[in-house]
Amino acid sequence: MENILFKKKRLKFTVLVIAAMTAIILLRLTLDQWQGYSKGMDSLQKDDNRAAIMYFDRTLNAHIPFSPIEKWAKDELINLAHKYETSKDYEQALLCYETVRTSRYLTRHFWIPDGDELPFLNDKIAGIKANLLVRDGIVKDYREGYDQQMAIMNKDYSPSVFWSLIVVFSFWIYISSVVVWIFRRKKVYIIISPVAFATWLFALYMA
Amino acid sequence: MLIYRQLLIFLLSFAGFVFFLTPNINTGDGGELVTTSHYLGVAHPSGYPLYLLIAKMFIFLPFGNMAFKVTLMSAMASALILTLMYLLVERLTSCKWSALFTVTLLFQAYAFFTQSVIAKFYPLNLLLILLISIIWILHLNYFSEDSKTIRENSESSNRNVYLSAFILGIALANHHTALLIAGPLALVVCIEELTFYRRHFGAGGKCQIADEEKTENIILRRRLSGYARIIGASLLLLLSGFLINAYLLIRGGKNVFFNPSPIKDLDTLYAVLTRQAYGESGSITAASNAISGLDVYLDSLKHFISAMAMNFSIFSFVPFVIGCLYLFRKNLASFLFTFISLLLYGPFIISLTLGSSDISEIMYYMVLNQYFLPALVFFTLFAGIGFYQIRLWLERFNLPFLAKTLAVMLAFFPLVFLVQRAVDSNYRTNHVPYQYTKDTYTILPVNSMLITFGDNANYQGWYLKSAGRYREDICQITSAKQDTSLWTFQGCPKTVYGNIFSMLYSSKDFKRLIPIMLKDRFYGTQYIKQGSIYAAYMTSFPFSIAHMYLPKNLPIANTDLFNELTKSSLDNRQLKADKLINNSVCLSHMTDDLFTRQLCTGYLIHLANIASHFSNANDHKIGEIMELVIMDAQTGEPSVKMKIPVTENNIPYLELANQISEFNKWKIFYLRKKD
Repeated sequence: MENILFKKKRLKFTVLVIAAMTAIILLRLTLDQWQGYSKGMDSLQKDDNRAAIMYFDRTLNAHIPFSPIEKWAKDELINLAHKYETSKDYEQALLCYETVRTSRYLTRHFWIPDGDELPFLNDKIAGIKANLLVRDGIVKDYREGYDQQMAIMNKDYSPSVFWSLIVVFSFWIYISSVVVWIFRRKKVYIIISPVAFATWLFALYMA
Repeated sequence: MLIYRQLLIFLLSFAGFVFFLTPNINTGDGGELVTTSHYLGVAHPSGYPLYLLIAKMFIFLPFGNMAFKVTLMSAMASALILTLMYLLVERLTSCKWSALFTVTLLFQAYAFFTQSVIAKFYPLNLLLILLISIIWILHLNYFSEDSKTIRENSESSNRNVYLSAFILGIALANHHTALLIAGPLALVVCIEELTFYRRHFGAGGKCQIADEEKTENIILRRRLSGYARIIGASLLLLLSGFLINAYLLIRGGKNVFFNPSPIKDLDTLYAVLTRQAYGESGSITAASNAISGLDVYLDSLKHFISAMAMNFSIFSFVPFVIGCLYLFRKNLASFLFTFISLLLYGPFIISLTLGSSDISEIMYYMVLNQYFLPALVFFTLFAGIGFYQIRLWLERFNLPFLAKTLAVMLAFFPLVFLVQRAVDSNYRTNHVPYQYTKDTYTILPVNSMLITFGDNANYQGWYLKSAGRYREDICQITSAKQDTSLWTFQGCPKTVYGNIFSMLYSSKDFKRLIPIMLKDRFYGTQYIKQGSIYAAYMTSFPFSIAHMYLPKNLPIANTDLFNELTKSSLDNRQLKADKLINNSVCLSHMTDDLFTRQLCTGYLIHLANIASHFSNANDHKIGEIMELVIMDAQTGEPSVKMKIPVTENNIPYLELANQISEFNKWKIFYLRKKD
């Protein structure tokens, strides 16, 4: 009974520490987002779109799931991109779209945040690049340039998320089982260790 | 209560590091490490599999960008180091103020602080070394003295040997400098055995604990037969930890999308593990040159003392010396372990890496700021113990109130230097590496090639392009230096770019690249240096913060006309580029990072080019001429020389260039005090 209570207390303690650490990180990211967004809006008001793009980019890179500030910053960037596209300022429009797209890839975890918007962004980016390639005489027609760019952007060469997770978990199980064996010397850990190690190797190969 | 105090130390230091943490990518290896861990590739030698695996776990966190998440690992490791230091000193001295003094002293140390807020493997390396050290320092100070039975002592000792062997094995999958702790470790294990023998058999060899074990022969026999078992098990555990390096063989041998150090066979694995690519600095070569002349050791000691004084102030030497004496008298084995570790990670490493007394700024920054991080920990450990001894002396003079008041004040005093860290290591404000790299790609035309030179340009480029997938139309070719034609396609794999840049993959003949150069689509992050391999084929023109490369001997009839057209086209494109880049980042970063300041010189070249565009007669000349000389950071030679007539239209650009130049002239922490 005492042992269970001790374990419960330890679990509670661990959860509390993790919660406190998460709160610290989220506080910092919220601060970054807020500063980035407010500076971005200030820059927009001063017609300094170049600085605004930079600040909104910072907001997006300080990703917090379901953050309204992040959504506002993304919307501002997309609006700017539309504006530039309409005025045929392709380089600036490209910068805005690419900024949003890259911020999504850089903040990926189990999945890519706002991943459903990637086809839209890819289409816009490929279209702009195709226009620029035609303008510079690099490709003969728009379609060729567009297809060429889409072929690059549509593929994702990242390792499998599932196998990457197995890699991480099996690695920690392997390390923990050896450490626990050193302290407790139970046979079960001698069995767990090689199994975890073999799983780790297999997952590494598969990822 | 100790656990709560430890928790408080951990959370407060973690919060401190997180506040100053780099918001995105930092200069140096960070970009490579983050990108490689995302793709589960192999980083530069020695591969760093342990770091990459833990970094991969951090990448799964659902907030922040990849670089920020991986940097959290440094913050967490450093917060754990401080917590463990608190635990260690409080256990050794039973004085919370001494423990707190140790923590605050280490927390504010420049090298420790800066490494805690950027993506680098040194805090993890230090944590593992500290774990091994703590196990043995506590064992030597407590268990050996308090243990009542031989079995109790033996079990604890064996467990510590096993644990140390396993941690050492793991640490070797992170950074090869961890191996140095094996020396002091072997020494304490020997001392431990000698102590055991002397304690239980006495000077005359008679067994002292007759009740527990029947005869001295039985004890000895068991002990001796136990050695083989202990050594065998320890080697097995060392290997179990070291086996994490199997990662290199599997991922390095696989056709991974992003893999800076591909491993084809056991030979290449050995080359990566022993860092053979670094020649003289490779692990084996450096180790074989370990025995140096006395002058080298004296120079190293001088650098070491200087670096300690810069990190902790000269006053910290007082508690340090007292701490050394105190531990020497209290527990010789513990003193030897800590002091030898300090010497190995301090002057010895400096003698291996720096060697001579004449050291460039880059070497100072690269070596003293990172390699000898464990020495800082051992230094503060002695200082913390010395602090305790000073307190004891004051109490002995019947000054308990003064002793306590002084202890409290001095324990918090090092935190005053955090003000300094807020202006020289505030990486939260450093957006230069990310922004500069992004700007470099932004200004290039679609379907361009970019040769990036050196670790900073290569690694930051990889992060943005391969992890962030920015401007995927651009092919990034990475090259170590201009004096070698060796380049790799890390940012431009054939699988992706084979259709667009087919001419690139068939051979490394520069002539094949001429058509793409003539279409203004070939760029580099450095100007073409005289005497380099590239100079035989190409010439460069500054283009904003990059350089446009053109063939040296143009295969066209009217070269003058071509040059004129190119210059005019470049001029117009520079103006367009000016609307895309953000040089303001070079006026707002509160860091003295050497490489950040080097990046900012790129913006100076851009501003100078724009200023020369507005230097014609119709721009209202005011009669002055500004001479701009930009020095090459590596060679110290002037890389760009320009004379720009000052006009009313270019004054804002020249003033901005001047501001950026002044802001980034700040010397790094170590050298600033020397000036």
